[in-house]
Amino acid sequence: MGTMILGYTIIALIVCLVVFVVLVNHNIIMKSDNWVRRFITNPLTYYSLKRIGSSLISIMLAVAITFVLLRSNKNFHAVFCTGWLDKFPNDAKDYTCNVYLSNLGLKEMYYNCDPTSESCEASFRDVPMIVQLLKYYYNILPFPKEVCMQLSYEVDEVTNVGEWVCANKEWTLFDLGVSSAYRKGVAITKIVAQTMPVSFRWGIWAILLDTMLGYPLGIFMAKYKDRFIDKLGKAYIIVLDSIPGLVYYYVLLVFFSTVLHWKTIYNPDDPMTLLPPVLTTAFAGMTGTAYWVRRYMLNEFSSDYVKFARAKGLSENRILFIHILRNAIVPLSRSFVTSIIACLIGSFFIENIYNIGGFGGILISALNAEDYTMVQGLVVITAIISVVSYLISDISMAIADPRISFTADE
Amino acid sequence: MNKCKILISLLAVTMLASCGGGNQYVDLGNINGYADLASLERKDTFSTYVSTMPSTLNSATTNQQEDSQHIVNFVDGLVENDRFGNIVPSLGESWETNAAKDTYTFHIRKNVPWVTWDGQQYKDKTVKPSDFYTSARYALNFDNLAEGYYLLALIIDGANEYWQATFLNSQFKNLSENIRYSRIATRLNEMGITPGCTAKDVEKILKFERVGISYDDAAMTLTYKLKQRADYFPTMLTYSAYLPMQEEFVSSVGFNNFGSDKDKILYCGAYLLDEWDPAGTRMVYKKNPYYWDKDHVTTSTLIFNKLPTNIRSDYAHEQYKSGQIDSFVLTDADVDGWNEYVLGKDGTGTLENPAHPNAFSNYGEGSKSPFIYYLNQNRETNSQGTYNTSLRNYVDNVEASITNTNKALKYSYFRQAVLNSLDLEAYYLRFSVDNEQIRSQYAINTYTPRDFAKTMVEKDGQLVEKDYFDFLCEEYASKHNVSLEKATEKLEPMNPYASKISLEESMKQIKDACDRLKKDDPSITFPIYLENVGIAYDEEQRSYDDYFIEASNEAMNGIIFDEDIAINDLNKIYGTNATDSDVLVRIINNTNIASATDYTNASDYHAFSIFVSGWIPDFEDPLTFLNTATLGGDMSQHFGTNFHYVNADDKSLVNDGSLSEETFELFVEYDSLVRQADLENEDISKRYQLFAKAEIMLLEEMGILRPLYMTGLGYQVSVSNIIPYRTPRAGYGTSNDKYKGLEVLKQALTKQQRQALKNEWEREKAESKK
Repeated sequence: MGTMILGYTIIALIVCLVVFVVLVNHNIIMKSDNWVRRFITNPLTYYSLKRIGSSLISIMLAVAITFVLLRSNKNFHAVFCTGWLDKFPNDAKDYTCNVYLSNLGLKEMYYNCDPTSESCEASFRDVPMIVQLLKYYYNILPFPKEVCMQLSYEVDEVTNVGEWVCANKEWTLFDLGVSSAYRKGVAITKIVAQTMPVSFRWGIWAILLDTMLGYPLGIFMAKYKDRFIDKLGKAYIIVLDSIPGLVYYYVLLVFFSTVLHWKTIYNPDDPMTLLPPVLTTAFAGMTGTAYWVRRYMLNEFSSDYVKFARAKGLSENRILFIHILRNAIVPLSRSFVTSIIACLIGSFFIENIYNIGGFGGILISALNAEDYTMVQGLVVITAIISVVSYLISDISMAIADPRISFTADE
Repeated sequence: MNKCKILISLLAVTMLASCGGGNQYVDLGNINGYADLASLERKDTFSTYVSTMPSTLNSATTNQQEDSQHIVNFVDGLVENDRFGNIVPSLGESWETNAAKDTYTFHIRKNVPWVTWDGQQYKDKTVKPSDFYTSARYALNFDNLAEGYYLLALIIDGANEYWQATFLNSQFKNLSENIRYSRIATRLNEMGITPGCTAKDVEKILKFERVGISYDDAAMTLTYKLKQRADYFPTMLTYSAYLPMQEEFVSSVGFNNFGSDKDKILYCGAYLLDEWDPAGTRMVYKKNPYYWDKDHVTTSTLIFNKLPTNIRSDYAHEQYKSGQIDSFVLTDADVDGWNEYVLGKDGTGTLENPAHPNAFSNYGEGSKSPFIYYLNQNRETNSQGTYNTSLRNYVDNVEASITNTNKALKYSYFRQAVLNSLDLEAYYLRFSVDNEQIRSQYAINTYTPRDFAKTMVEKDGQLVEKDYFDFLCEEYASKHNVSLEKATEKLEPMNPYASKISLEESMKQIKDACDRLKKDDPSITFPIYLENVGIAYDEEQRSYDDYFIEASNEAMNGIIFDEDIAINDLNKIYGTNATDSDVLVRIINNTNIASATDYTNASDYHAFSIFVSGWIPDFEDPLTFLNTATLGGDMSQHFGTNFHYVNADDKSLVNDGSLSEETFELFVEYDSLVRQADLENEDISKRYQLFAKAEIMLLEEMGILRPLYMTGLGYQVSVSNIIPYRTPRAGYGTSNDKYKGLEVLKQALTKQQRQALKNEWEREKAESKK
């Protein structure tokens, strides 16, 4: 109870802070100039706070939508109690399933009658979705709270009645629960913490290679516009973009395994097994990089400062690499930052094809295993990463490019 | 163990289990067997694929094969199977039974340490008899929702009562003690579990000490008291429910967390789990340095990768070529692989004699998990029974149609006629469209597989092994007064023609049965619809099902159907001569099965009248199969025969009207035969004779099921670096999943080497049985 009060107090304080910031920015309160006002009314601070606020709302919405969708199939018995109950006696199946669903927090036991009367039997009902959702919000909001990490079944020696009790409580900031079917009993935060570095490991190499190949290709395509290298590059971009992704992945898999006889099963101890997924991703990703680099550079070619530089007699290479490229990559830096952060999420197809134990494959596996808690947790993590990556890329772009402003009137 | 679902795809990577006759095509030259491979270099690492990764390693709760196949490599049981299939000591160093043979006392191996995943001894603890007691206590407590509880409840004295009592105790936990115990007693009496039980008895039943498992840690003995004599009991002991658990460790991690990760279990088996990635794509085993039998653990590292989804048919052989797996089985769907390894450049190779020097054609006796087609004679008309039904496309009133079908299926002669008329040849097409030989190899004609249960009999003054299948043939021959050869031909596997009847005969059987139905129950209307549930969401499987159903409908009615056309449209196709009344029985495929979940639900709700499922045996005795078909037996919910109304006075079964009187009499006779056989423990030949009588009756008269197919039968071409016949094997339990003894060469074995090893193994196996 104490932690509940503490938690909601913190939430209330955050809401108050946000309201305060909004009111100050709209000149409703604290009209006199001081350092607090200057800090709060700084466009970057205000923009960041607004984005963090809207990001939180987006995450909450994503959680709510997933919650509703996952629970839209009310037939929990069909989803959770098939197969493993085969050998239970008929008259025990329904009760067993309800006990299992109660352990998952989907149902609760109640009595429609006087619980001590001889004929009274326990019934089960669905826990209202809003109650489940609020509880989940409480668990995922990042403030210190005590959660049960280990359940233990204890039987009262005198009455012979057993109950599940919490044997081990721990303080945590962020609780996504434990996996119920995919990896029974393992904390989802632990699964996420262990799979993300795996995805990041191959993903970052793919991004680097994509950049190392895509940028030069784009630059040369722009420099030699309509000449052979440009036409070749365009052909490459069009062909790869027109092939469905899955076909492209499988064609490359066949090429690596049957033509090159490379190992296509990822082995953390063998760096060479990183090559197929990295190349597959980089070859596909560099089409977009090259396309946008070429486009932005061609835009800059007709700018006044380029004409001026030419008039000054600067060499074409100096104009290209020192002046044009610096301006052209500003819009691209945003997607670069986003891509690096998105590496944490991985890719379902690549990780499935090359047997990589990363974050990308587990969402589908969790869905197949009907592991609601895990699906929910993964959606939260994915939403947070997406939102945070856009926030960071926006802010980093603002810092890098002085032309960008956060105020509407400028 | 469990009923198993239809196999959607047959993974072509396997451990190459086999037995059976020699290969006449292979000239052995000067290779004699295992000793000749001594100079060949071994690999220290073995890699393979698994189609599913485990979700838990908690041996007390799980009964899923994807979990237990790993657990048995980490934790040893009381016994194991050797490489010839014989039961041999493991942690139970020796055992003896009492005079009545209903009590087994095991002497537990001393100084076997419990080890943590990183190879450290756990607090100097060693395996004790109480560790087996602990795991049974967890498995049998209802509140732990253990799937495998039934393996203990089935056979151990007091175990079922304890489980039922803990279940009821949980259900009535709101009540005061007196009222609770009184209600539990009433329910236990009603269920016929503990007749005459009183509230006072319940308190005792709820004490686990009353269950027939006791131990003495000082003397290192563990005793199981059985409900009744069951000589097959040792064959049940390899299942994970019988594996030990170290109480102190379980308490320290919490039972709920036990088995959730590599550091959440303790090891006393051949391997330690070194890596288990949270994404479930890879597991790595390392050899247990403290293993009691470490001399027989020859490969230090085992790597299991999860098979990617949507793989190509040539995936296995390509992975083998790039050195990422150590063996693969060829399928004719892999055209390039088939041409290269089986047919060869000049196209002269065959399934029995493949062209490639490393491709060996192995003759197998199958997985021992048969698949059957069966009828559900009590399909419900509620929302579960009509789950996603396709009947709406054919009839106006679905409930009335199901009731009508149920009425007809009450009669055994009708059921038998339907089962006889199924065109299984059309069913087998899914196994190979082009190669008749391959698809024929899947056919089975008995429920209990050949080469599953054997006994020693005296012949010409010598003790020889006799297969239960031979008892079946003898029973068939004597019942039909035909020669033994004829009977064998009728029942042997891999013969899809044995049970085939002509079109005229099937039409006649159906017509006669329907004429009889009209007399026995004039309220039955025709056509009778039998809804089949298959994997309709898989285009390929659905097209095979549609073809099979069309062929079977034709066989029953002599009319060619188009599955997409409703019965009322028949006139448009066949003219005015064809009317509904021309069609007596019609199987329809449920096309609304849109996902694996739909399929599982329809299966669990028994929302079908006809269905395919498999059965994995629990122990090495025909009883494990024949028990499924008794009234209230293991698969009775699927067959619609799950009532168990017992006459309180003489404990005899009472027909509740679910079956026709004639069918009920058949079931009672069948049940009585099975019970009689089960009580016969002295003379195993007699026991098998009685079971054979019951099984022939089941196949020919009961009209519940028809044996369909089994995997692993006949010739299979494989290429492998694994030295075969070195690992434990059995047609039941978990021994086939053990990797102890595994030896992998750095190169593929030649067909000569594999044939020589096979010959040697067969010789040694015959010796071991003596």
